[in-house]
Amino acid sequence: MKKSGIILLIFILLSLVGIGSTSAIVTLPTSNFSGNAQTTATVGSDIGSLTLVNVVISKVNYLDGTSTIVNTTNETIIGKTVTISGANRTGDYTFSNAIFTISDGSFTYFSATLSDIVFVTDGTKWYLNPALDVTNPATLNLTNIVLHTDIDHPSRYINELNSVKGINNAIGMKMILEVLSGNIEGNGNFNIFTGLIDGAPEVVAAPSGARSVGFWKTHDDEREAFINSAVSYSTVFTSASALRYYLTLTGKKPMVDKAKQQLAALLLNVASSLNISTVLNAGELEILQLINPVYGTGATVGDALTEIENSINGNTNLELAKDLADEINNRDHAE
Amino acid sequence: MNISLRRLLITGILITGILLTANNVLAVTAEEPFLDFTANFSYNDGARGKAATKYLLTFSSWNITGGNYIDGTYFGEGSDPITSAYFVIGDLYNDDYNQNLIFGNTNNGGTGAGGVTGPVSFTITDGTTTYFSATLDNFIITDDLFGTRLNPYWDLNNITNPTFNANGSQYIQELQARYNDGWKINFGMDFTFTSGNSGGGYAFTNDASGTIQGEMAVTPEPVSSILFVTGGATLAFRRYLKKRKNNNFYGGLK
Repeated sequence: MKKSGIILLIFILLSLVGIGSTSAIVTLPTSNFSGNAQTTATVGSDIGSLTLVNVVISKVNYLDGTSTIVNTTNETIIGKTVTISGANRTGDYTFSNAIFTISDGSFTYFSATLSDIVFVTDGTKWYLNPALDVTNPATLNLTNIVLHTDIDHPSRYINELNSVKGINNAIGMKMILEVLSGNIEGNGNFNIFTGLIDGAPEVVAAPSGARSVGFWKTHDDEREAFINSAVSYSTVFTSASALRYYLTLTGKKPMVDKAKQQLAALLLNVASSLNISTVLNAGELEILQLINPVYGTGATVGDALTEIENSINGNTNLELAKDLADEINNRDHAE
Repeated sequence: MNISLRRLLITGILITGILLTANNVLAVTAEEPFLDFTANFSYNDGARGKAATKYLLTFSSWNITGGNYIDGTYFGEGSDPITSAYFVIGDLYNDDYNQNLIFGNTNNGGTGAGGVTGPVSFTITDGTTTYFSATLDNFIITDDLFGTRLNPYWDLNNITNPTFNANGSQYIQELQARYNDGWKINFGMDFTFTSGNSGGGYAFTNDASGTIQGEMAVTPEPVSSILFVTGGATLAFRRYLKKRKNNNFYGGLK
């Protein structure tokens, strides 16, 4: 009765938090692993654990949509052993962070930190990270990823994974376990019904050089790829939505909004391809000196960014701030 | 007939609980022997496709990755000849939204008459030897909080009319033994979408592709399960009545 109650409670909680959203997205490349899993109970000072038994990579799915279930001249990862080590029990359904690896015993293709090991159930199977969605960073539970291949251990899968693992060096893994014997709260043996290592959001290439407000307004993929990083450089914008709002303003607007719009584009440039240590050119420096005469030759984009933000925050020199940001934004692709 | 708000609330919670747990209570456990497999899937909603492939779900790149024998022994690839084989499944069709989660052998091409179950052929072969042949029916998808899944509660009993040809496969021998004892054969899978809609009941409403992992398992014959649940419920109810009676008796003595 107690177990049924817990299952019901978990189910209701899952319903409330909306886990397994209606638009979970998985991107290539992916790999599937198969085999068994095992949990042990905590008895006295012996801490229980979660381990994998006879688990191997059974299939990989490449970026171009093709897949393989056998090794080839450029793929050797099929059949290699998947392990979880150091997953110590922290509760009935939870385990500590662990190391997740794919290796042949001596050569390690893949290693990463596996976090948030929390199992939930639908009443028949146990799910780890069922809501895996590459667009939701909270579901990317593999971090600190280290990938290896060499001439004796070629792997197209690892190479492709390396190309898309993203700036945060995070990808996702989900696992569905089916009880063979025992239970997950104690000693249990499980069949891995589903074992999936997901790809990652495709890396959006940074634009070549600084780009104008118009570019950032219309290039959604690029804008969204760098918008969070852009916000991190700013004291004017405290959220992506605020930056997006001012960037996309249209029609007649007050000078402060014009300045914010140019600043938004400048921040996106800094977040993507314009290094803040880049030295200002003569025209840019001239405007900067009108805002603050202290600057001389060698002043940088970072200096300009500071003065533009100070101007907006202080509600002074707004037109100069707007002009300076506009000048920098169009330095590489003059319209 | 004076019902308090508290009693109404408790009754409401109880009914909700019963509804929510209905699947859990009725669910049966997949048992050994079983096979694990992976494959790719592709679904065509027909918007740009030919009529023959409209609403068609197909699978490719099957890989039987291993499984467990009745004694719990795990067998990986190569250790039972069945792992060199693959599945061949007949064409499965669904229909427009509201019937999008039900697949069968009929292509009604969006007339609203489709989206019904119907048997399709199901074989396990390595191209030379056919180890197992049967019909696959009740291909009904569950698309909910836990993902897009076929037969998650192992209650569809969707593999029927089997013919066995072990040809050296211990798995097939054990499967046949279980079947002869009255056990049911169930085929279940978990879909991972790399394109197309999924979740919230919208799976297979537009072009989609991705991968699957799943299991072909046996489940105890349904009569035993029903008797077990019914018997358990009866015992629990009798115990409750007895406890209540005792409480009333001792309560009356106070």
